[in-house]
Amino acid sequence: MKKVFLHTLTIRIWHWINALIVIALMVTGIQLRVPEVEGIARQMAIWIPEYSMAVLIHKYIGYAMALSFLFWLIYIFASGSFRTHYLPRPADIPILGKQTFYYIIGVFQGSENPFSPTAEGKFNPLQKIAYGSVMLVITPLIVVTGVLFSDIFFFRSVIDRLGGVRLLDALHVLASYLFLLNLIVHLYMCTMGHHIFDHIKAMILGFEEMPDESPSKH
Amino acid sequence: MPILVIIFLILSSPVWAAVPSDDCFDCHEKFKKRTSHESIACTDCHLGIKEIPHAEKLTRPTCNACHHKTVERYSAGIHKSKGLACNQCHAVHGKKKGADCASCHPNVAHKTLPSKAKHLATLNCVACHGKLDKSGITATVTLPKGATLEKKVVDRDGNGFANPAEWHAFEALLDQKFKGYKLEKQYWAYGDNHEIMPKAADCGECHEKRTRFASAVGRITDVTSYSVQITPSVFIPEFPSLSEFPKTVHGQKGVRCTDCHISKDKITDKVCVRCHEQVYHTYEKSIHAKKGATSCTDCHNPHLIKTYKEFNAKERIAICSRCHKDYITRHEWLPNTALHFDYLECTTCHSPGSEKSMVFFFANKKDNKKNALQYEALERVFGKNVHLKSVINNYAENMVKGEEIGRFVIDLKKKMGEKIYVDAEILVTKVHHDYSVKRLKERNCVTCHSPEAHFYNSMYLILPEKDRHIYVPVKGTLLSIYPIGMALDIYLLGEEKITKDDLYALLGKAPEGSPAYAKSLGFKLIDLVGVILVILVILSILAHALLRILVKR
Repeated sequence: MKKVFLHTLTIRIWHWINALIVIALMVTGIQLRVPEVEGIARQMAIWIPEYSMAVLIHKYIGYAMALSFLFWLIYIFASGSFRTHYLPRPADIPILGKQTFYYIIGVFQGSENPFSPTAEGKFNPLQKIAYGSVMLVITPLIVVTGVLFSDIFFFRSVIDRLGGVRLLDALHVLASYLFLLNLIVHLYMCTMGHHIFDHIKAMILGFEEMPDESPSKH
Repeated sequence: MPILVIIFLILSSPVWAAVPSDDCFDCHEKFKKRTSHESIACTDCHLGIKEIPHAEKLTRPTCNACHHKTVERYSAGIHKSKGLACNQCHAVHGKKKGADCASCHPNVAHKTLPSKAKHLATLNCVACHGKLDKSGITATVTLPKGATLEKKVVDRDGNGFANPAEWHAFEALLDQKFKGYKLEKQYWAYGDNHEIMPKAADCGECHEKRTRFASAVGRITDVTSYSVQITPSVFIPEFPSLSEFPKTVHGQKGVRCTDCHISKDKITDKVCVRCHEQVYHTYEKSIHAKKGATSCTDCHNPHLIKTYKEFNAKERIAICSRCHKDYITRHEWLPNTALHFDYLECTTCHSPGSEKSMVFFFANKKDNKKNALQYEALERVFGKNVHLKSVINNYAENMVKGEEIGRFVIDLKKKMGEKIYVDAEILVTKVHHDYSVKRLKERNCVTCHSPEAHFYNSMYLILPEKDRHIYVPVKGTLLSIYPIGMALDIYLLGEEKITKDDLYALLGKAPEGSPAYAKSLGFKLIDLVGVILVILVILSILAHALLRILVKR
């Protein structure tokens, strides 16, 4: 077994803080959109913030999300990890098909993952597409529309130019559905390491244990 | 100029006079030490002295030669007509005799002056009794040390003027966030004490016509200081005028002055209840009546020309915010607080028994400021005495349709410019007089931000007609049919959210067929597709996971 260093301490801390932020925003966001959730949660004796509190939480944690995103953006470009991990390369193209085949069929046949993460590139082409779109399209969209919503008075001229509150609302909701879809897949895919918790451990400790040559069979 | 003054002083000095003043003092010794008029010679005023000894009888000195402007003003005043000479107030040779009012008029009873203490504490005598050169109100707000407040907080709409609603909101903010601030109001009036009018100014000069105290300025002093013009009615309440009374709501309904003003006593609710019995009894039982505004006139001005229905959201809020000054800070949980208060009145939420409606009106956007279109402006476009309802609604129904309003606005834009649009507010249209609901249990955005919100079932177009606004019921929705730009400001978030009814309709119950219905859903489709995708993804993940467990991977 060899240890492959994948996640810097900064990214690990950022990841878990961001995770908390996302959970808070998701829960309150759903509550804002579907207030019936509150009644259902009460019946099941699950604590859920009061509606007005949810509004405030969503707003202020939303600011936190904006900061968190900004931090990530600066870090990823300043540290060069955008080049290393996110930037699609021609070499990715042939793996794309193999990777998709592996997730849909290969994994059940016991074949090995065509991609193994290294410090020189931790994402396979599919991950590049997924993380790239989440972090560089969906999140900015959600953050920008959200910030514009925080003070419609103040941003009125910008909002009018973008097409009005109605379009802004549609974009924010659309982006949050896309985000949710990605999050569900993300949560499932993190169990796809050699051991079920390997990827999660890596996000805590920074490195992942990999078999030296051939993947171990379970 | 100064040279002329110096020459005049030199020539008039006692040394140069025909009979030097020193010669006069030989006999009139006590005037040698006079403390007034000491720089001019005796003979400047005591005319006709050519040599000493002088004639027994001299002409009485007049002040006119030097003080002619003052004398002129004085002769127009009451004191002159009562025969008071200059020297009855002014000691010509000695120290100035107390020329202030109180020395002759101590403790004036001011029996007929209403709110006597308030008037006497804030005004000087000339404010009412004199002819004024200048008058105004200055409200100086001194913020606690180091605190700053931007001008746009005071003048929220940026028109350079703080109206009553804006000023009350500002005072509320001060109470909440700037503990230890100071607000000093000064009612300043400059006039000449020489020109006192025979009769004091009547109340209307300040309270109605505003010929006195016609301007008010707020001076906010913090690290930097600045001034904001304020509508004077913030500080001096408006009174009705007799000539305007027939135009008031009461006047139009045939109520006469003496129907309410039975005696000199202050009007009580007993007078109101004679006509407004039902409303009174609803209100009487509410907590608001017991603890807060106990009499009708605490909120209602019986001399108003506008009907309550003609009040927009801001004007309605201004009534409540006279007492509930902290309404903005109390609603901080509400996102975009200020924006909400542009479109809602307090009772939109705090009077559950009232009927609320979405009311549309035509407005003009000018320098980021919205103004409802008035009849006069529309008359200029559509001709004199136009009946607007019949212009909008060709079929002479009692309703207008959404598309009729749309067509009218497009027409208006062509005639009056691109800044015309339809605006809307959510207002109470049928009042239930119980405002005791302090905190709505459901601080719930979806009460309004949902396609099922109650006010969509009760929509009106406020149409300015000659002398009156009329409420025309609106049929169908206005929002989704027309291009975004037209009704930009009346979109409520969450309006386009899929509902149960939509789902049932999609599942085959729509008369026009599911695909056509789906097409009409617009942005609501995001919800539909989103939820379906989420379910599909979860299902496929479950299937994937199950297979993994089965093949032990």
